[in-house]
Amino acid sequence: MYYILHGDKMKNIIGKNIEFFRKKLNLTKKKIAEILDVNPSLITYYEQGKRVPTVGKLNRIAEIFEIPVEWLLMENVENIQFATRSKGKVNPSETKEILFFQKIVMDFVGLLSKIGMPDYTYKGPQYPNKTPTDSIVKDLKKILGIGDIVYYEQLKTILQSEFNIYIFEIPFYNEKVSGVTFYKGQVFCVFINKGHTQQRRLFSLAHEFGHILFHIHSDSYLISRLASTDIVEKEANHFAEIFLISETRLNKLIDKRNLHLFKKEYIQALADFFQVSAESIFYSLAKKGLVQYNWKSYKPATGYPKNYDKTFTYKDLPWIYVLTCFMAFEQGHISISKFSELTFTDLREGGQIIKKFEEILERETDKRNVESSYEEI
Amino acid sequence: MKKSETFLMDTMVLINFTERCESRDLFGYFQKLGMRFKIVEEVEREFKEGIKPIGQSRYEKYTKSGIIKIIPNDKIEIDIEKMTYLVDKGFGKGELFSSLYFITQDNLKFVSDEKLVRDVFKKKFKRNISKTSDLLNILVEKHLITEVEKDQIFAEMIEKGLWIKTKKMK
Repeated sequence: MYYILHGDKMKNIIGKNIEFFRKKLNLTKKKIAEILDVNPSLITYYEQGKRVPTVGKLNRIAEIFEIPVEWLLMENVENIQFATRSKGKVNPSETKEILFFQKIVMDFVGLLSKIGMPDYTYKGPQYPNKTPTDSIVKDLKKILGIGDIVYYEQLKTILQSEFNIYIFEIPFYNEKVSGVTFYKGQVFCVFINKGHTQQRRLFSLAHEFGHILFHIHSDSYLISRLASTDIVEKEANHFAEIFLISETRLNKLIDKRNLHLFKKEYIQALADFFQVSAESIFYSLAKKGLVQYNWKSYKPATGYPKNYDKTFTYKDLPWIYVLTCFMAFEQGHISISKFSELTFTDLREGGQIIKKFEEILERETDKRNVESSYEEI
Repeated sequence: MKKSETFLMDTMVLINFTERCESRDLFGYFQKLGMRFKIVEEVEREFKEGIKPIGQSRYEKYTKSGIIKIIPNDKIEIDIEKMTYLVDKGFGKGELFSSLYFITQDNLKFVSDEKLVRDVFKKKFKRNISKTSDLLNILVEKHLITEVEKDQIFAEMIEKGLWIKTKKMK
């Protein structure tokens, strides 16, 4: 027997959590048993609290669910429950990815609080019960210091520095998903699919920004797929369009007398000018009645990007996230090993990153006449 | 030190002794002293991520000869209370599983260079944790290396990535 019993309550926590995630991820007991190479009845015993898995089995189950092993020990699984709810259906593969993102968000928000990071919560405005309008966009652009043309890197930087929106640009496993926004403890974390084109990413970021402004007001998340017809998605699309494609500038650029000029090439040129997709320009023109409201008949849909490289490194993580992990290590809240887990590096690479941060910190502290010395361990 | 003494190593320590001292085969010295080592399966997994050839060959040599023994994760007992506590304290998986195993073993010494791990064990479990330099000190005590050589080994380990620091404010 390789387990210690701590009463029914403890046994039930693990059992209930296994059952909770198994069902959310649409996995059968038989499937888990097959992977673990055990009898399916053992999974039933786990879920009923009649048996407690070993550390090894618990770890394997967490790996199957692709969640941190500690989530199977949580007494209040409701704390992470919001990740498996959404308006619209979320398939098991998306649920897995959202759980993965949520782990990052939970760790990040927890560490920001632990290290005492000043002013890390959302600083921007919100417009509950309002819809996107040109005047709201005008005000926002004024606050953010953004002109008619919006550039992706510029928007990323400004949203983070001005409003404390933390942007994680990583390749998604689910190719159709363009962005996911989480709100947790007054912190907004936006995940943008790095596998998509820069034009798409810009639109996705503006779209997620729209969700932040108009739709997310309590701890929750929203998932944005390509070509979604959900009303909330449409509203976020509308916001992204008027935010990225300046009405005044567009009017100046189009010559309504030469409607025949709205050829593929001309629309593409406008798209390049505004740094958006041709599709976005097309719909803006369609709203003005300048082209027939049928993108597919105009140009066959190119579909979504496929087969992009899905690996990512710590360099894809926002610097503020890696810095927060480093500060947590520096203050003794986490070990190097945990730092490596959080930054998706192996121990050797994690150690090197810490070393680099240390060197920077040392240079800075030297400037402030603070003596640092290495001590033998 | 008794001849039968066994040490549980965490990942960083294992890396130090296999990869970060290329000039000397330190496990060879430990073998001469009859010392034995254990690692948990999770530590093995962490160790193998990004492993260097010298680490690989030494690791294979000493696991084959039985100086390093791997404890399967399935041999580790779950104690939810302690596990939750250690996770909250910021332990990585390797340290976590090592700690859970160590807690149930009275006659085992745990070697970890993580200050966090040493502090938690001292305060919460009233157990002292050894570190890389303690193992090197054993080699000095047993006259397998000199004090000067120990310093050289330590310098080599630091040069190859071992590092720890404390700050002294003026």
